[in-house]
Amino acid sequence: MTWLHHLLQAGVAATALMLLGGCAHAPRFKDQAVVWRVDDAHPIAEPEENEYLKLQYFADVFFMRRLDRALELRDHEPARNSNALDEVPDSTWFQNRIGHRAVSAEEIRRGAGGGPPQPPLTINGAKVGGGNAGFTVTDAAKRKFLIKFDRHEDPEMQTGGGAIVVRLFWAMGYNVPSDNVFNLKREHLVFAKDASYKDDLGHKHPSTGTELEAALAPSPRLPDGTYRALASELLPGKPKGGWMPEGVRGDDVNDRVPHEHRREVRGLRVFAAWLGHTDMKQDTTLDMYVEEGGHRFLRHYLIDFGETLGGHAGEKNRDEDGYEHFWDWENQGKATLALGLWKRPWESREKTPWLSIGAFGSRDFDPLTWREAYPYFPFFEADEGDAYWATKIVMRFERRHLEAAVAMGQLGQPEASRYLVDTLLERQRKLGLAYLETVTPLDELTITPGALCGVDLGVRFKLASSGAVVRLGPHDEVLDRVSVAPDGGFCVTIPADEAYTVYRLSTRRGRDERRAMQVHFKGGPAARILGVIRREP
Amino acid sequence: MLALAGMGYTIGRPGGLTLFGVTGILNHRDFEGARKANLTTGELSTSQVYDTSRLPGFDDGSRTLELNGNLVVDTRDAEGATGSGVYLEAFGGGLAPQHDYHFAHYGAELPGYIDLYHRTRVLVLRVAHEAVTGKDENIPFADLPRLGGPSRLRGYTLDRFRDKTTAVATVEYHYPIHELIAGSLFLDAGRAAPTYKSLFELDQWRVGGGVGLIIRSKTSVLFTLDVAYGDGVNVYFTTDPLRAFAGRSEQL
Repeated sequence: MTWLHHLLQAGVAATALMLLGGCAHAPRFKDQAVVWRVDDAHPIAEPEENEYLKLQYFADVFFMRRLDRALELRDHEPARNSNALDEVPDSTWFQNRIGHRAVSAEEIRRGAGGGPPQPPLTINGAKVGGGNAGFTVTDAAKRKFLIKFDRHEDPEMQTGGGAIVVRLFWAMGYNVPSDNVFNLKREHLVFAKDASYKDDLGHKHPSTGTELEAALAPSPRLPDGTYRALASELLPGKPKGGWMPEGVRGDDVNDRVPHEHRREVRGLRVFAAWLGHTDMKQDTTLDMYVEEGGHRFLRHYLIDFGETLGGHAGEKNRDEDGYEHFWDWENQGKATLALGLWKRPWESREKTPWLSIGAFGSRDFDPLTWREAYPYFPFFEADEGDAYWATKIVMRFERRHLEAAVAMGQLGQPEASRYLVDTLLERQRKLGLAYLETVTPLDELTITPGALCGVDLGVRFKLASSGAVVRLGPHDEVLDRVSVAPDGGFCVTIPADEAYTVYRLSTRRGRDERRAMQVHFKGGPAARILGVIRREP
Repeated sequence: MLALAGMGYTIGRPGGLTLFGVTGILNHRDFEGARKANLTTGELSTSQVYDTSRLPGFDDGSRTLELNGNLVVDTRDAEGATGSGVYLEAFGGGLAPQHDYHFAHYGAELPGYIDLYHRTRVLVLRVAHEAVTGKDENIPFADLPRLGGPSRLRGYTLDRFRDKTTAVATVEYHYPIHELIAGSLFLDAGRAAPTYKSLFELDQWRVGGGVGLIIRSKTSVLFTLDVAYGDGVNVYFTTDPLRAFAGRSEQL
């Protein structure tokens, strides 16, 4: 079966939904194995670098493309790359990790692997000026890194946040670099003979050897004279620029699903909201032209997490961060007309006592109204199916996972680390209440002869204390009802024959009746689940 | 104005800033252009309204050197997104004896910023006064205090009113829209009069009001855009909002 067939099969759920809208018959899934891997690593010729033009990008996301999109009167489309179980198959974009298997705290500590550089470090290039001064260096083991520093105003914030969040994104399933906090001595840095530096406007100049002091000047120095830094190991392959928020690359035949319709890109909104990743834009993504297994193709990465966990609000001094886009036509338009009588949610935002964390909190966090700083169009496309998929991944992080990730941020104050873990758990719960407890959150479905079993994620993740699962008839009449066990488990009986069967299941929380979802299966001795439709037309 | 030069001394620190100084203003006025102007807006020019031969320094222009002492007290918490404090600017002096012109000239402006909520909703109260004293024939028309325009009585065209004394009062409210933009609602009232007695005939005061946008950072105002209604609708773009005597203190 070709990779294209896999993709087509992965789109069956969406097609089925469309069919149901057109006639009275129940949608049918093919009786075949569920696709868990899409082969989108076919060899391609080396693509062009997709240059990030900052001003043009901002003009597009705030004004031009925004206007275009409004005039297009777009219909909503569900994600196009989910499989029959409404999950995301592995690909060059995403590898299922904590969502599908047990991930240990040790794995999260390791993240993408690798470790900090070994001195001495030879500087190959530098970027001075602006808020993100740094170097590209080669260490004693000939590994290459991008080195970044904190600012005096918020020591530990960007280095710590970067090292923590990269591990959480790795555990979720994204391709990320290896980012580690380490302490650097001034004498461990030497300039290569052909080193160059980029100024604040991105213009390249031959190094004069003085850029080191310029880059280190805004960075806090530790009492022992060292500088705390974040080392991000350069990714394997050739960088080809960040992926565009919309559409596909014309020079990559593997790139067949428009990015705004990829579930792992749309669902990023939930992860970004959880971790305060408000700096989501084209230049925090990266396509790498890699060679693996004798094939050359593009692998798609998320990079640069230094401005998460309140870091972007700190660097830009934006109280609105996480609440409004930089230019937010809706909220700022309302504020103009309200003449100051509307107290906006961020105005009561509390700052923590720790400079390393800033204003990252949970009290005012509202997953539904959270906004990235720069409009990211895939987030505009995200629907409840994308949010459900992402949230159940978020919910699988346990305290031990978060403690492991936060420990790698090496924050100097233990109470700040504890606060961060507690805050992430509180934000996680708010996400669960927003995106799991508003639908029928029946998942981890298994089937055996005579029984269809699963887990009520609301009860499993203690978002609800109890629940029931009802099987509904065509007119929403209750045909069967079972209680959910304290661990969230439930089972309903299924017919003994092998006929194609659709169960409409709904969760009950007391008198609260949730919208039904559908499970399509065949019973009999070789009972098998064929597909799931989470939102009935 | 041909030139403005000054020297001064600063006492204190930002947020409680006090400046003393002396300013010299060399004025060379020529109303030839105004007299010949073919106004297309339907308004009458000065020469169509007045017998300009009776306006000192109008037909022949005037050249004067004015010397002033200046005082600035600035207790604003920030120059751009101001949340509280006052900005007092006062000056006094007169014309160096020359030709037939001699008069005393003084003025003061005091905007006060009152924090209504978290330094984001701010009420601004301002009074400004300017006067010249001397015989009418010794004061060039061009040197009479003026009202009208973005800093001195919005809702009226620039320098719409002139006389020996002027006063303007402002109530303005600022509220946040964007991190770089604040909205404003304002009401200005002012009068130009020949004497103090007539200056305070309140029923003669002109009133203008409107709405505006203030484009600013936390440390400085870039510009303001105001739409005001007084004797008509006027749109103002200025880099010196609420600064009746803009330009004097910067030269110190």
